[in-house]
This record gives sequence, structure tokens and C-alpha cells, in this order.
Amino acid sequence: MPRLKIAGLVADIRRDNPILNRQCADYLTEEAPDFTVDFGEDYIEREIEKEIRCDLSFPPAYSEYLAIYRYLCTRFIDYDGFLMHGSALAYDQNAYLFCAPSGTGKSTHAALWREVFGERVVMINDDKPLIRKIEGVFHACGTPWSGKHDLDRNLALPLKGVVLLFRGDHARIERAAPKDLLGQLFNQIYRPSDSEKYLRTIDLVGEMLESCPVYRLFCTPTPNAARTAFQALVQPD
Amino acid sequence: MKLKPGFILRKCGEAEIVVPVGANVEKYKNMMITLSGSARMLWDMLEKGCERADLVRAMLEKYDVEREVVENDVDLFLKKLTRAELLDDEGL
Repeated sequence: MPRLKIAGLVADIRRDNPILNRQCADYLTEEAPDFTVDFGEDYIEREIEKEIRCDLSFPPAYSEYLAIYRYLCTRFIDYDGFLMHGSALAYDQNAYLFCAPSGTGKSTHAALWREVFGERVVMINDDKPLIRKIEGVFHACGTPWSGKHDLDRNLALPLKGVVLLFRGDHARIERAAPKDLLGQLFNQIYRPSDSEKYLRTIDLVGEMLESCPVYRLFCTPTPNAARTAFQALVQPD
Repeated sequence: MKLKPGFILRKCGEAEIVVPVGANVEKYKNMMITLSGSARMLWDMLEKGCERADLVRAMLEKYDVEREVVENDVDLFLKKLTRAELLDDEGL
């Protein structure tokens, strides 16, 4: 069973999950654990119930794999971390997070960055990055739960922009007031059922939105959309 | 009418949002209601309990706008709260 270092924290995973075992090579560590991830079968049952409510059906190993992440993300809140759905990529050691409801094209957009800017673009996590405040700075962090293409790296890099994607006729980007996008941003954030952790998540999200710029990107599935976003995010001057 | 118990207001960056607490989290955690200045006043009144007419009167005293506009705004706000199942007496 693996011991993983994720977002600067060491977690002892006490579940022998074949999917996680396959994905986690980049995160293995020998360091002393900060906490343990352990739960009974009832926790997985609840995960499966949630899937049924969302009309989803996964093989048992995949439900367990997701349950481990749910447990881990709930623990991470105590360490100023939370899960935000989106595609997080790095360019020159800075992180940018692209969020949107499923099917809008965030992975496609991230792929366009790789196509246009090549190896200077590194995928941190293409689907479910952790955002963690480390020494006062919000970082986008890789984890071995990164969506269907398994695009992730064990990195924690300062978050320099949060971008909400919309489909558009032509590529256009604008700075946005976080309060205008709060509902849409919150839809992408994992909200725990525990009241204190829920409040802590809200406080962390509020702090993140004050410390890093938020954008609306109207995008097309073309390289031009990546160039438009790049200009605003990486070269604002 | 009155707000159901188990909700608080929390600053989130520049916005103020309605947040479920305790046993309400599971049921209401996907709700997202942000309050602007005037909505905040209505929220405070509803927390103590009041009628629609009280809300309209308070708004008319505070803002220099037509009664029709105020009534419309109050109704919209009450509808939003009713839809989110936040009011004890749904009132509308």
C-alpha cells in the first residue's frame, strides 16, 4: 500500500487499490506521514450511492479509487488545501487553472497550450488538482487523480490565474470580478459535508480569489484560443 | 415569515454568501446565494422574522425608488429564498 507525497504532504494510503497503485509512481515517498487514509467498506458504499444519484456506474475498483481521493481531500482541508475541478497547467514554473462544466473543453484548451507552446507547458493535473495555500501562497498541485488521460505531475506551483471557460464564436479573454463568478467557481469545488470543513473551504476559496486574478475566457477549439489566453495570463504587460 | 435556522452569512472575498451550517450542510451545500447591500438588509430582517410589507417599507425608507420597483425586488428576493427552501413560511 503506497505512501504518497502530494502537495507537500505525506499520506499513508491503507487501501490496496490497483488503479491508484498504477498511477502513483511519481508520488511515492519514504518520508514520515502527516496523516493516514483509512476507512471501512461503508465509506465506499456511500461513494457508490453518490454515483448512483448522479446516474453513474463505475467498476468497484474505480469507486474505491475515487473514495480514497474524497477522503484525502477532506483531510487536506485541515492543511489549507481543497480540490478544484479543472485543468491545471504550468508555464515557466507558474500555474494556471482552467475551469468549466464538463464538456466545455478545458482539457482541449490545455492540449492546445501544449500544441502551441510545446514542452514549456507541463500538465500539473488535467482534471482534479488540489489547490493548497503553502506559506501564504496558493499553489496548484498535481495528484494521481487526473481524469481520463492521466495527465499529472507531482508539482506544486504558485497559482497565477484562474480562468473560467465559456464556448464562444471567437477567442476573447477578460478580467472578471470574482463575485460575479462565485456560483460557477463554487460548482467546481469539492464541498465536504462536515460543517467546519465546509466553512474552511469557503474561507480558503475567498482568500484564493483575492490573491490571484480571475478571467473569463470565451474560447474556440483552435490554437488562437491558447494564444489569446497566454497573452492575458502570461504576458499581461 | 422567517428564515429557517441553520444558515449564516460568510464573507468570501468581496462577496457575502449564505452558508448552511451543522446538519444543513449535506442538504444545502450546492446552494449559492450571494447578498448585495440591500439584500443584506432584507436578510437581517427575515432572520428576526417579519412580513413582506415590513420589507417593502424598510426598502422605501432606505432607498429613493418607486414602490413598484421595490415591491418587485422584494418579491424576487423572496422567490429566490423560497426556491432555495430557506423560508419557514413561504409567504408567496
